[in-house]
Amino acid sequence: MTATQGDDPRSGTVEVVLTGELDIATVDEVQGRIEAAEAGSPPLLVIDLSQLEFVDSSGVRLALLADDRARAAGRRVAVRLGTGHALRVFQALGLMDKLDVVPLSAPDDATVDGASR
Amino acid sequence: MTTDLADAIGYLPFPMGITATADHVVVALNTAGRTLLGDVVGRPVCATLPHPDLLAALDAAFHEARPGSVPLPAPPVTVGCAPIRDGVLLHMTAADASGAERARTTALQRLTSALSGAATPSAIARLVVTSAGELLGADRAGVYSRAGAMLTALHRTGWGTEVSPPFDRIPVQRGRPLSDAVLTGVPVWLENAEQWRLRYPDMAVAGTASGFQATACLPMRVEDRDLGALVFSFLVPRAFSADEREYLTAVAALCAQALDRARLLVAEQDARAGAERQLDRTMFLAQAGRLLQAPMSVEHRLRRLADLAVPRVADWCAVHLVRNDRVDRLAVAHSDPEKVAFVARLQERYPPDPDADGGAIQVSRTGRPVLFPEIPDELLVAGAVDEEHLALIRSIGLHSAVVVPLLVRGRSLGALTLAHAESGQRFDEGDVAFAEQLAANAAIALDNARLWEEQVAIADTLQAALLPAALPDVPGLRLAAHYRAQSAENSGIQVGGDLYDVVASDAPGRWSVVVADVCGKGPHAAALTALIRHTIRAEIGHGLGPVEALHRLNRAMLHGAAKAPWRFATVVHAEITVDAEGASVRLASAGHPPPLLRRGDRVESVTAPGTVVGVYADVVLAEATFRLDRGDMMVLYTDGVTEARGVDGFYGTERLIRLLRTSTARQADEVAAALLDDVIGFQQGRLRDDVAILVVEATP
Repeated sequence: MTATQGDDPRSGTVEVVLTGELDIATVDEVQGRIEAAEAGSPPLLVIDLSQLEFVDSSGVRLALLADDRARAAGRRVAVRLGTGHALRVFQALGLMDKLDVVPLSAPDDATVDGASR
Repeated sequence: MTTDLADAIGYLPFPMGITATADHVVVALNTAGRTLLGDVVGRPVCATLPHPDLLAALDAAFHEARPGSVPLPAPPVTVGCAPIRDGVLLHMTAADASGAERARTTALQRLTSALSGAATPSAIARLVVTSAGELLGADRAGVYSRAGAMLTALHRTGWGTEVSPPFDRIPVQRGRPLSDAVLTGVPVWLENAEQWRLRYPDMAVAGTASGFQATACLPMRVEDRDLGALVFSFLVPRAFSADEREYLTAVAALCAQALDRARLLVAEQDARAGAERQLDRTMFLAQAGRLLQAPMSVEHRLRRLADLAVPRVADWCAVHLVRNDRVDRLAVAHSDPEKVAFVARLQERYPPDPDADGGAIQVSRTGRPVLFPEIPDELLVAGAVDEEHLALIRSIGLHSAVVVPLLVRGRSLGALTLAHAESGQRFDEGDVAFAEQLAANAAIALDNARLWEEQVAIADTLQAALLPAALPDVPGLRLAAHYRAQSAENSGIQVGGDLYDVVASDAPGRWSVVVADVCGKGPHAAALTALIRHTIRAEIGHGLGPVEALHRLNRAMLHGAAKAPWRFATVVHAEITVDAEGASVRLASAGHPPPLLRRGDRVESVTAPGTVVGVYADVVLAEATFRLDRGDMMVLYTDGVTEARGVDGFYGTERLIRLLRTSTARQADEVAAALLDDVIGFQQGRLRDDVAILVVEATP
């Protein structure tokens, strides 16, 4: 499991890219990274799950919790799911219209799904 | 040795030196020697004393270890050549010396040489007593070493056996000649009984008892180290001449020097032995630590620990454990299995007395360590039931033992016993500390194992409360279910979040089956699992369909969500109505892995999209309806099946479908068992996540 943070100083967008496996064994570490990224109150925090080889329900819950905190704080959290494992998991759980899901391209160019919520 | 000897000759009042190598180079020379020969250290002795006879004597001593002596014309001295290791000891006597002087010089020279080879204090004392005592014609002679306020005889001669014991140890007490010599560092010379009476009126009767007249007491000191004193006594009055006084002072100095050297040697050996023992024990503790973490039952580990301890740290090792109100012997180890068998037979015949003082049973109860530096015979006598028992326990030959409790968190779980027998070794306070450390490691392993067992029992009990004890008999359906918790090494011990249930509905022939999976593990997940089970049971009783029952469940979960925010669940809920041709099914799924239908050799996936429950107020749930013809099966499962991982990657839905299509299993229970076996085998027996499987078959 690795988590890499990238900041875009122009837009204020912060992106945390996760690779490897996000499950009960790694979720606490990633939770720490996400909270660190939230510390600067970025207007948009993108959690990139598209490169994960595996994500389990604890990883999904991590995204739901981050989304919940952002709503409460008037920020925005989006997830990038890509086309692999993470996408199938979020689809199967019926969560595609519950979260901001951004496509694989850069967030600046993104059309945000779920804008109707 | 040469260095010791060089130190020793420094104390002597007559010229002495040491040469080394075949060229007889002078390597040491005492003060008297320098006065005679000048500073010739570093030069061959024959350059200073060129004489063919001397060279011949030196060669004989060096090459053939033959002593000799050569009179030289100038200077007028006799040079004695004594072989020593790697060289020759020289002693020079003035040619005009008297016979007595020559005898003393020769005796000192011999003593010097002999002392350099004596390693123990008693050997040194014996040499000194014999050499000086014989030369002076002493009737009594003794060497006493000092430790604090006591003088202890290292060697004595001439006292007679009947009075010996009181003179083995005598207190240092001012006003007694030997003590005064020790305390002042100055020899005490008493030449006759009259001098005794004048100088030691209180002691005179004792000092001159048995007709003794003269006594010489000589202190032994090296630098500031007080090593004791020598005493020589005579049955005749004796005027100690200046030469004799000088000789005895030299003997005392030689003796002191030799004792000091022996003391340093012993201290050094003790220190080295102590360091080696400490290192060995540290390594033993490390080895024991690894053993105590080995993947085997804790009792087996403790038996192995006892085996490891013998004979390395003890001849015998035993482990006792407290079990309820009893103390059981778990292990007895000795390097000889016959001895272990002997003790087992002995203890079978004579069960150990639980109240025996210092016994393992008592230590297990009190939690206090007991050390027996020596096991006295009285203890064996006291512990023996009868003569035969006594003979048997004596035959084991225990000499020394230490018994320490297995203490953890202030409780004693048992005792560890170490005992020495045939090795003749003894335990001391340091060994108690070592044994306690070993026992503490064992106790922690024991405690962890017991906590683990307790947690497993608690988790199993809770888990059982979340699952039906048995599936109901449903006319027209065959049901089979399996649940396997995640392997303990992957999770620690946690109650899982998987659930299955089968409940009769309000209408006849209508049943609800549920499989659910709560996100996460532990008490919060378990509470949510219980909530799901009980909510669905209640809603089914109200006659609600699967979709509406899941909506109600979602609201109930949100209501109680404060304790476990954003902890969601996937649930599949099927309502089955049995009829003559099979069964009709209405099914809703809240984000759960898709149910599979096995119809002969075909397998279909049921599409019933839906959102997970427990986190969003608005969830989208769709109902799927389908038939189960006779012999058709519906397979419900949790993601512990499809997300199982083995060396080939994920188990996956494709493998599951292939298994259901190709398996030769015919009935629900066979299919459920085959699927479980395949998932477990796929992960080499170690489950990464909980697995729940429920198979519903319309009876053919």
